[in-house]
Formats: sequence, C-alpha cells, structure tokens
Amino acid sequence: MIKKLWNWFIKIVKETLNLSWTLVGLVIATLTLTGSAQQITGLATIITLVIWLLTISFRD
Amino acid sequence: MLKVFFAIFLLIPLPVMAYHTETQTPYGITNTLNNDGSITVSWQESDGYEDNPPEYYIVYIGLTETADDKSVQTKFGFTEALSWQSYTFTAEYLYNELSVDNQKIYAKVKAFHNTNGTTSDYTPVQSVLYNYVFIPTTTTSSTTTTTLPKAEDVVEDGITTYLAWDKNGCEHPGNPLSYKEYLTAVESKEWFGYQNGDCKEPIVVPETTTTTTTTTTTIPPTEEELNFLETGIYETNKERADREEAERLEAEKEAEIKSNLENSDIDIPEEKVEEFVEIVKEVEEFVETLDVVEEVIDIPEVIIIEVEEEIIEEVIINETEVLPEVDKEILVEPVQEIIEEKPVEEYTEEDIEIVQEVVDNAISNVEELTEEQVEVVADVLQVSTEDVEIIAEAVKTDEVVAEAVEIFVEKSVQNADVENYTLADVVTEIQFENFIQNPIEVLINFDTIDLTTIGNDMTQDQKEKAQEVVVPVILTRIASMAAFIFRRS
Repeated sequence: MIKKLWNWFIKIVKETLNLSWTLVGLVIATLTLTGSAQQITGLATIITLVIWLLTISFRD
Repeated sequence: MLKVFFAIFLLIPLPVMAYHTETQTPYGITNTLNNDGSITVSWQESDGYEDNPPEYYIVYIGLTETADDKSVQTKFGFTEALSWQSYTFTAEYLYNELSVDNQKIYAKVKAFHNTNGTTSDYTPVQSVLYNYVFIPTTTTSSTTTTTLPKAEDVVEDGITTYLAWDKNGCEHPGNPLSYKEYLTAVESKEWFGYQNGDCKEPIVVPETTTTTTTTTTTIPPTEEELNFLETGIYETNKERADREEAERLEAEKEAEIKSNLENSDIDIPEEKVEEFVEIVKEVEEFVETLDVVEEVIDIPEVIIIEVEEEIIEEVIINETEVLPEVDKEILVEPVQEIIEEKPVEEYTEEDIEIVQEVVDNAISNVEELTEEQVEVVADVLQVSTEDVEIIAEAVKTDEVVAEAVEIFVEKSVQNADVENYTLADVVTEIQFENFIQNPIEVLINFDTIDLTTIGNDMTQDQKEKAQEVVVPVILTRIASMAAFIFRRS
C-alpha cells in the first residue's frame, strides 16, 4: 500500500513537472489578475491540477 | 459787276476784316453815368477771328482826352464772340482817385494777351459829363461837457422848472423841480437828467448769506478717541482689552498648531502651512460649538474620566473625518501642476509624497471628487476615468490593490523607463512578491466568489494585462500538446 502510494506520488511529481510551463503560465495569469477573476483562476488551476493528478491512472 | 463787288465789300462786317490779326481791338466802347454816381465803361468783344484772344482788358479813365489818369485791369478776358463786357467805377473811387467835379470823364479800353505778349490797339476814347455830386460819409464825434453850478451857489428865478429821473427812469416825486431843487437832487447822485427806462424795479436776486460760526471748545479726548489715536480702532478701553486678549489667544493657538505640525510626520509645503492652520482653527471652532450635554450626577471619578476620554475620541474622529476632505481640495491643484509640468522621471521625493497623498485621499473619497479631479487621479494612475471608481472599490476589499495604490507613484517613478507602466503592473509585482513569500496563501485565498460579477471588479487596464498573459499561455499549451501527439504518432 505504501509502495503504491509512493509510486503514485512519484507519478504525480513527474506529471506536475511535465506541466511546469503550463503551471508557470497559470500562476502568472493568476498573479496578474485581481479580485474575483484572480480567485476563480487560482481555484480553477488548483482544482484542475488535482483532477489531473488524480486521474493519471485513468488517463493511462 | 463791279457794282456788285463793291456792294459786297461794303456789306462785309468789319470783324471779317480783322481776321488774322493777333489780338483784336474791342468794339463799340461806351461810357455812361449811372444814378448812383458811378460810371460804366462797356465794350463788345471780338468776333473770335484772331490768333490771341484777350486774356484780360485794361480800362483807362482820365479827365483829359487821352484818358490815361487811372487804369484798372479786369479779371476777365475773352468769353464769347461779340458779347458785351463792362467795368464800373464807383462814385467813391472817382471822387478819391480823380477828384472829379462836374467834369468830363474820358475812357478807353485795350485788350491784352499776356502769354504771347500781344496787345490790341486802344479803342476810341469815349467821354461822359460827370455832374454827380458825391458826398463822402464822415463820422463826427462831439463831446459836450456841461458843468453844473453848485446848488448853494444858484439863486432861484421862480420861473424855470426842471425834471429829474432816477436810474430806472422813474420821475422824481417832486417834479417839476426848481433849479436849486434839481441841482440838489443831482448832487445826491440818485437823481439824474432824463433817464431812459420804464420805471420798473430790476429783479433782485436776494443774496444768500451763509454765516458760519465756529466755536472752538476744548474738550478732553474720550477713551475711544485716545484708543483710535493709538491703534486706529475706535473702541472703549474694555473693548480694546477684550480684543487684545482674543488676539493673544489666537496667536498662541496658531503657534501651538504650527509647533504640533512641525513635530508631526505630516509634510506640508510652507505656502500651505497658513491654510492648514486656518483649517485646524476652523475645525476646533466647530468642535467647540458642539453641544455636549453634561449631566451632573454624583458618580465615581473613574467614570468621569472615561466620559472625558470618549469626548476626546469623538473630537479626534471628527478631525480625521474633516481633514482629508479639505486636504484633498488643497492638494489636487499642485498635483495637476506637477503632472503637467514634469515627466514622471523628474519627480522629486517631495513631488512623489504630494502626488501619492492626493491619490490616496482621492481614492478613499472618490464619491466626492469632481470630474476634473477624477481625471487628474486617472492621469496619475494611468487608467481611464471609469476605472478610478473600480479601483476605489477594489481598495476596500483587496489589500493588494490598496497597497498598489499606496506605492504606485513611487513605483511609477522607479519604472519611468518602462513603457505603459500602470497600476496593473504594480498589482502584479506585489502579488508576485506575496507569492514568493507564501505561494499557497496567494493561490488559496478565497472569499465569497460571485460568478455573475466576475471581472467587474477589474479595471480595463487589468483585464488587458491579464489577456496578454493568459492567452499566450493557453496557446502555448495547445501547441505543445499538439507537438507531443505528433511525435508519438
């Protein structure tokens, strides 16, 4: 179980690194925005990232 | 045939014979005596068949047959062929110049063409008997001085009577007067011989006599007068004392305000200090007018102190509420001058502080700004006028925007070389710094999100900046995914 979690952790790290440039862009976009637009962008970015990482196996 | 030619020769008028002469001699001269004693010499002009028509004539008169005693040049010359011309010598002229006395006056005329220097011959001499008696007008002035004898020297004859009049033509009441009475009346200078007049009293305008009586009374000066001499103000001693006390208190208050101002962190230009002092005084006066209802109740001293503290707090709150409004009005004008006169990179530290203070005040009181003031603030923040209100709203809820507004002018000066540096850039910078310090908090900083108003709290400038970042990121991501798929296939 721990090994599975460790492997999944390694996977999400690798996947996150693959998304580095995209995340950089989204973070910058978030920092550029203000008010509710910033909040929504930030929230959407995090939710999407979480969904993306949780569905690695599914997408494979 | 010869008879015919001879008849024609006789019928041809003399003027034709004169043709080709240089200046013809006038014809038909006459000399006549007029009823007024003048004589008129008349002649007929030439027929015009001449080389040099007369420019003027000279009429000669005299008491001998040569008619050459006197001559007069006419002002006229040839006018029309065979027309009659004349010249009249007045009786006075004849009397003075010829001293004619029942004699014949002879006259002749000669025509002159001065331009070409030609003259006619003299006309025949005509005479007229001058039997007019001319009486010259003479003015004779005679003065008869009659010296009347003195009244006391005359002896009445009882026969001769005299009349006397006053200066208005009124008869003496005693008329007729005896010779002695008459002389006595005349000697009085009030009665005269005959005086022309209708015996009416002349209208006498009564003279206005103004009598000015100056009474000089030495009265000791009053206290008002003494004060007026000293201070220039007409006041009693008590009024003066009260006024001077009020002035002293006011001066002390002013000095105290200035002292407080120097000790405080507020940096106000020297020229604005007086205005600031006036404002503070007005505020204090206003506070003094507030009715503080004090209830006299026997309560512990501690509570009384608390009440006093509350009052002081109220006063402080009132001052902080009033002052920004006034400061705003005072300082917007210099900001406009700074903006118009200087580019951002030339702002001094003092300019930065002034502009920043105005912007802060304006943003926090945006509802009270005039359109012109909003434009000034928009110019400073490099945004549209509509965005000023949005920023003012954002400042209330977004700390980042509030901080951006606070430091915008300073940042703007630091980034003067950056093109189109706006408030959105400052916001991004602050958010980035915050993200570096605490990334999670920045990304997970959620308040109540209203999806219906998303983006409404962003300025147009902020939206444009965001588009410039977000759109390339999405496009780049799409391109990279397409490349990845292409490589795998």
